[in-house]
Amino acid sequence: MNVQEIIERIRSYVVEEFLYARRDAEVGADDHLMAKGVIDSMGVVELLEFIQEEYEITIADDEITEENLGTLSAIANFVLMKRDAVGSSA
Amino acid sequence: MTDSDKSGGGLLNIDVAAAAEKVETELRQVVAEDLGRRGLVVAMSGGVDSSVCAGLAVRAMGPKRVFGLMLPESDVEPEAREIAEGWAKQLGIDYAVEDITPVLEGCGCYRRRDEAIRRLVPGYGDGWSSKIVLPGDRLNSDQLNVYYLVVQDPSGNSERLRLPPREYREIVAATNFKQRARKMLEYYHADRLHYAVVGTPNRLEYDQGFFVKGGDGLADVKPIAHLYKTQVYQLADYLGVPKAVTERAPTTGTYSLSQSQEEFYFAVPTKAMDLMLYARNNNWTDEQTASASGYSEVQVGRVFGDIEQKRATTRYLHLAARLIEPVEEIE
Repeated sequence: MNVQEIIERIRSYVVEEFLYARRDAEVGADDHLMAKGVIDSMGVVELLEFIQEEYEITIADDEITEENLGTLSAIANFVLMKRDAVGSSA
Repeated sequence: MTDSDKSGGGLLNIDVAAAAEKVETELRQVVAEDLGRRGLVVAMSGGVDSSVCAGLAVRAMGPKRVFGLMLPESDVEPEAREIAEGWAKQLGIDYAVEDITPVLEGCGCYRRRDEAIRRLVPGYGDGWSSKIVLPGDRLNSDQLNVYYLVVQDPSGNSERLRLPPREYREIVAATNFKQRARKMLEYYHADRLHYAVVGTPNRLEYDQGFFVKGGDGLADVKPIAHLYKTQVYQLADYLGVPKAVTERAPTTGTYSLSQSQEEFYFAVPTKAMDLMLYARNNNWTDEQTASASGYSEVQVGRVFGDIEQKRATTRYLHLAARLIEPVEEIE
């Protein structure tokens, strides 16, 4: 699993769930999802659940930040970091 | 200077006599001319917003053309209703107390809510209480808004859990029955009296989408939606609203565990939130706002971001029904 694979998977989820009426809309890897209006506060909660279930990671309260979850790139790097941490503690 | 004291001095002070007169004049125009109604129905919770609205309604229309409604239910402490009744009697208006608990039981409000909670807390049941809160402390945290369930068992032990989306939506949807049931009764009385219904949001609530669509967001006229909370309190003093109202800590009156608006929605003390919203509306920079408020620019930036995010998220609450094609004869 690499950054690009995660980006594509999250992008696919975001388009399916939040942009279903605008399938031709483009979500760049570094687009800020909330600022661009792709997701709102409810969307953050749903995205959080998807990421945790999809990648079998637990996201702590203080990790729910724009820095970690604000863009597709940020999410991908955050997921890899979390999975590496799980792997190295196994 | 504590966070709760940082209200920017007298920046939000208003000429209360002029402000009251403006509302009263507009209310008469709206009710009699625009809406063609003969009076106003005001749901009175015992809180400062509805108390001020009732006072303004009486000054605008006279006590004989204002009908008060107290709409308690089993999750709200009786003190609130008693306070509201006291003010209604002082105003000299007719009023009714209608307990909406049977309505809420009939539509499964409590059952649906508790079923969702039990998926997370299997032991939740009789004697337990609950509320929903935000992470809190928007001023000092970069955490994005997600909701938490706080439950308290009959022994007083409490637990806080992050809410998954399905349970969050179901708890909120079930709880929204309360505001919608109340509005149903307000319109019942408005219809039988040929009155208009008052909505009581202050500017903070209206701007930030702190209301239920088809619930407390539904009304014919909203007399204080342009006033910051601080200004509502100034009017309350001017109108003679009892201290039992103005000195009571505001609660949402929605969940069985006492819950403030700050912990449920705004995540910032009310006086600070008023000033932040005022600054944002007047295009102040982060630096200007920091200087006036005593907060840091970083803190101001966080709150400004939250203001815009809430406006975006709740924009749909303000929208009227959309037509596929305009009906020009009615528009």
